[in-house]
Amino acid sequence: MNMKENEIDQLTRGLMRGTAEQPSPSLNARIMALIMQEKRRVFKYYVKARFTPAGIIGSCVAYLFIVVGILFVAKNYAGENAALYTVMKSSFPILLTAASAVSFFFLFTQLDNWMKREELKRKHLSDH
Amino acid sequence: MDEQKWIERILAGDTQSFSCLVAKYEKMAFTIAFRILENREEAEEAVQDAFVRMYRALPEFQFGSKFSTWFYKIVYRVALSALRQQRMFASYEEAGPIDLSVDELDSATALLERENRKEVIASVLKKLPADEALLLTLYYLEECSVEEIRQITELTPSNIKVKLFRGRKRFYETLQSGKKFETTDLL
Repeated sequence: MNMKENEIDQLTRGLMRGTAEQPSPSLNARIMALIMQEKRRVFKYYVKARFTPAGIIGSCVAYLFIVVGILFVAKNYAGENAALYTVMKSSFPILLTAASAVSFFFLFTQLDNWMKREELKRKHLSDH
Repeated sequence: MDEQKWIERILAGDTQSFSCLVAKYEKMAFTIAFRILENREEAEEAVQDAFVRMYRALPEFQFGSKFSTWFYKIVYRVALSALRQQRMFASYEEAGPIDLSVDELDSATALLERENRKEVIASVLKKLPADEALLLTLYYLEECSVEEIRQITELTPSNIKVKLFRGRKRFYETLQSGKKFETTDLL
């Protein structure tokens, strides 16, 4: 029997057909369990790190603008209620300090989350 | 539904679509890992690890290559690192195609019709060196091209061709010696 190269290839394909190894039936379920675990881990992380650096700084600035805006509006309409204006005026430095503290706390926690996320991302990529 | 849609759904958070990928690729992934590791439990662990790695890397997949090729490369690497013998495929010598004898081809053709063909072939593949069995599986069973095998294994095309010829020659030799052994048993 003399065979050409492509005929030998065909014969070999015929012989090999259906010879893939069969894994145990539980393999699919085990893989999916691992994937669900992985998904929960990634989702938890995603929720924690929704903000980008630009978003974090933007939110911080927007927050301060809102506080200043509220104070500005209160000042303009205080004519009708002079007592309220006087109270607000005296407590303005405290209000501004508290608002800035909250704003900076938000800024640094989010920046910290972002840095952790980047580190995890680098670690994942180096695993591959 | 094609793989691209499955992948888009997985990236959108639909984990059930991932089970479609698992169902489609677990058998071949297991076969590749088993050819390298030659142990069922270790091969299953490697496959699990490969699927998790693939899930993590999925956002980076660009459809620049076939999904199967990309995934088999992950399986191959995971199995190789599990084996901790990175030099399995390192050495090879240049050699030309090796011709098959008429007897070898005759006995192989006769085997095509036999009911226990799959069992016979599986046992023959187990007797071959792991690298040759893997390349024969990728080329003849999964019908990967030489270029796709190059992407999976990072061997050179000439290296792949030589190993395929050698593997095929050894495959037919083992097949024929097995047949002789069977006949002696019957006598």
